[in-house]
Amino acid sequence: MPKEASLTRRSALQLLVLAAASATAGCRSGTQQATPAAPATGATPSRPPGSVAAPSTRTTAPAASTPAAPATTTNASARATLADPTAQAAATSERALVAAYDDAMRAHPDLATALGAVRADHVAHLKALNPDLVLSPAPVPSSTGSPTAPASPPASPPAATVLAVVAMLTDLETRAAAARLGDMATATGSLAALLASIGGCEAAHAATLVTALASP
Amino acid sequence: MTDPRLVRALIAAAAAENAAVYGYSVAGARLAASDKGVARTAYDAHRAQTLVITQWLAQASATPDPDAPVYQLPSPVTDASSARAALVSIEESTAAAYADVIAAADAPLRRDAALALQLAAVRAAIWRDRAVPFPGLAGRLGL
Repeated sequence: MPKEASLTRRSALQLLVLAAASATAGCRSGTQQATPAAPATGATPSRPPGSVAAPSTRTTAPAASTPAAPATTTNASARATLADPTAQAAATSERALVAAYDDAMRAHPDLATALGAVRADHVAHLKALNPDLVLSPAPVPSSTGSPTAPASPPASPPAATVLAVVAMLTDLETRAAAARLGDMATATGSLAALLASIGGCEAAHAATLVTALASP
Repeated sequence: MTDPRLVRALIAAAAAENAAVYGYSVAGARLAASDKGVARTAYDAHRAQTLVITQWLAQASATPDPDAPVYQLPSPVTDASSARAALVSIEESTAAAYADVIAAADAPLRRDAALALQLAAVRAAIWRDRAVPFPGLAGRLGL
């Protein structure tokens, strides 16, 4: 692994520098950056199987288990309620991220495993922010991609190359990490720590996505 | 007067950063040659951060514990892979220390600590080769 790994690690570090710079730059613009590829809300009658429940239509689907979703932390400080508007704003952003990974997994089934692992982190974030939330499962790679699905958000056209998808997701993660810094400002102590940790995960995604998606 | 909880969290963060500097100096020697550049950058970052926290403590009218000559490594370091594993633990402890600062701090300091947590999470993910969903959260001392 050494040779190639070192190269990718170096690129990861460069990304880290970019991420840090961008996080700093984006700090004041706060949450409005946090919802780039906002998922279509539940208006469409035939939702693709992996789509995420829109905020207003929290799905009551019977325990659609999220595959490989790590157990939410049992740390009491990691619990938040959606009654808190700060947690709500962060949850909206996390929902958009899950939807972006759903889109990417549909467009690139060959990357579904690697993308699914990252998506699972965002599902865990959502559950920590709102323990009652039930999400649809991730898109299944082998399933017939529904051609009747409504047009994807412009940020992720179906024909995007792998590199473009990685770049787009890296950008989303970077913005999300910056947005968590903004969310934190008005949060109580333990929620602030949770949001900061979520932002740490997103910064780590931004730095490692290239490596994660390049490895077999 | 500064919240004593914040002072305790800052002192713990200073200790975590000092331990990280020590840990990188020991584990760095065992890393694969291709990893040493990254480790060197991280070592410098932790050293710089010890100074930053000293300033934070000064603003809180407190002083850090003196730097210990030797720290306990989180796990034995015998080769490149155990060195990387130790660095994962070191970065995770650092992130956890910042999470405690964040929980106790007000806006500007909270933000700076969160940026430091993000950088620790990134370095942990680089050594681990993947991210985890809640860096720093499990190891909080809850000061």
